[in-house]
Amino acid sequence: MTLKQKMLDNRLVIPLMGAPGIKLSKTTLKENLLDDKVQFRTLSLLMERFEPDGIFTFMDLTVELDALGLKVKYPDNDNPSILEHPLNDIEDLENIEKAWKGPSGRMIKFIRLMGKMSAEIPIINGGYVIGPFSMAGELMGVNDIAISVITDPDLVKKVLEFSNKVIAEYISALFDAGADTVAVLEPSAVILSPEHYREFSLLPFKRLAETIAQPLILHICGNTTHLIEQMVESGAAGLSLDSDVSFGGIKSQVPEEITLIGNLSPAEVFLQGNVEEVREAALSLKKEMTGRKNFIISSGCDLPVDTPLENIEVFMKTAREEL
Amino acid sequence: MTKLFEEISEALQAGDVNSVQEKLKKGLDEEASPRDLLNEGLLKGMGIVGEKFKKNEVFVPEVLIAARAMNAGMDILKPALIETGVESTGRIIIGTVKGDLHDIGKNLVKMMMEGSGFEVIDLGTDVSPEDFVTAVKEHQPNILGMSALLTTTMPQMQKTIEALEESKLRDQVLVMVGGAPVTDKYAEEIGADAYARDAATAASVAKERVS
Repeated sequence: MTLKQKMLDNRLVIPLMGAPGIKLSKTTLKENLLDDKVQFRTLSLLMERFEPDGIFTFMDLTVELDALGLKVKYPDNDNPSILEHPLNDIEDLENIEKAWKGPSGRMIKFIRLMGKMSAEIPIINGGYVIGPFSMAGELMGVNDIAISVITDPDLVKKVLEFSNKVIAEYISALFDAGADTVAVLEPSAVILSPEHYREFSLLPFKRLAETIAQPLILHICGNTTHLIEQMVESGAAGLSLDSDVSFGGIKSQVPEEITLIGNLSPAEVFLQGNVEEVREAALSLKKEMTGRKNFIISSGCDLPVDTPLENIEVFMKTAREEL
Repeated sequence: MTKLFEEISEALQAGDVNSVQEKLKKGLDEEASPRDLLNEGLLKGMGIVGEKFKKNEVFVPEVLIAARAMNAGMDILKPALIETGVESTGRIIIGTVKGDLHDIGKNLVKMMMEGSGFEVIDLGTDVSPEDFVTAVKEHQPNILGMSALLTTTMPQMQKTIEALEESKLRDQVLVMVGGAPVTDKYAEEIGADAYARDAATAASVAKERVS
């Protein structure tokens, strides 16, 4: 069955995994994030073991900030984090703008990785970029940006404009390298009211989607039920939503030309559940989504590093069973 | 005075730092009781914000600016409160566990707790089990609250509980846990006393368990 047929038949199974693969390649998370050859090997092993219909690179929300020279902490087996949030005013923004010289730093590794995946892995290959509000949030600090959307919206908008420029250039480079899709990760947007979301995350995303011809996926973690109505206007080809959102509840709000991607809980089901619980959760989601066109069964967010491999296995198997 | 209390509450809800401070000063000048300014003004406003947050009528930015106004108000009110010896609902130590730098959720819980009249001692992020234990020894809180956003840092909660046991402090403090990957089931597994799904719930659970 070709991918296109599978897509039409709603049979694509694509868990958002990268990190659990380090058990297969016997590597650390850090090694995968710092070395594209290591990550390629891990992703190849994941592919061989689970045969998903698509695979994304490791989720890493620090790549863009790292390219701008912000300090990043890389624990051996945990997601990296940004150690400084240097942007407080327009002057800081101007300094950071000067640090951007086009795709650089670890972006180069992810672009190279995408090229190799595209050449050698014959399934849907996806890349990740950070979303505009989340990037601005890392530059300013999430606490500060949350306050500034009310007290200094003009500054936030200028930071968003710059973030979008960085993100757009990186997205283009990933597509040029052969990505089939790029998912824009916008976790920090979940804290906003619908009105603020529109102004500070949706509109910048729309501008990205308008300038990029290829399909983008919009991913926001957490309970985004209050934002769905707006997210469908984003211009994204797909919405990847977390486990707090009831797919049964929102599926009628999302037009069928937009692919829904999700949404078994990475922590409660994949990490802490046993195989029976994973199986039940997958079956119940499939039932809930029966008849929905353009649905990719997946995890609600990135699978944690310690996810038991047998849980991923039973997820793949259950997802592919006939109901 | 009722009108002034109402105005303080409204200024706090709008996050208007200057107005909150001015009105509190005015209240103190007119010899309103510091306890009433706190309970009927600041805490009432914070309580309304918390309720609205729970019902998805306001979101994190609105809560944060209200909390900022609350802190600014406390700067004015604290000396007067200490003078009159107002008692708090209880004392809470709170922090994000070791290896985890996420603090929005923890900050929200802190605000909601303060809004419920608790005295909150915030240890910040990346707090080791040893640091939690030291703080419990020093401050003798009613509640210890731990937050984690990462599945890989969650186990630090259990390590902290074990460290409390080793230091024979476990029985004197109610351990509450929360954070995106944390579940009721997980809380039970690691031997925590309470779990709350969100910041507003955390405050009501805390109040219920302490009083």
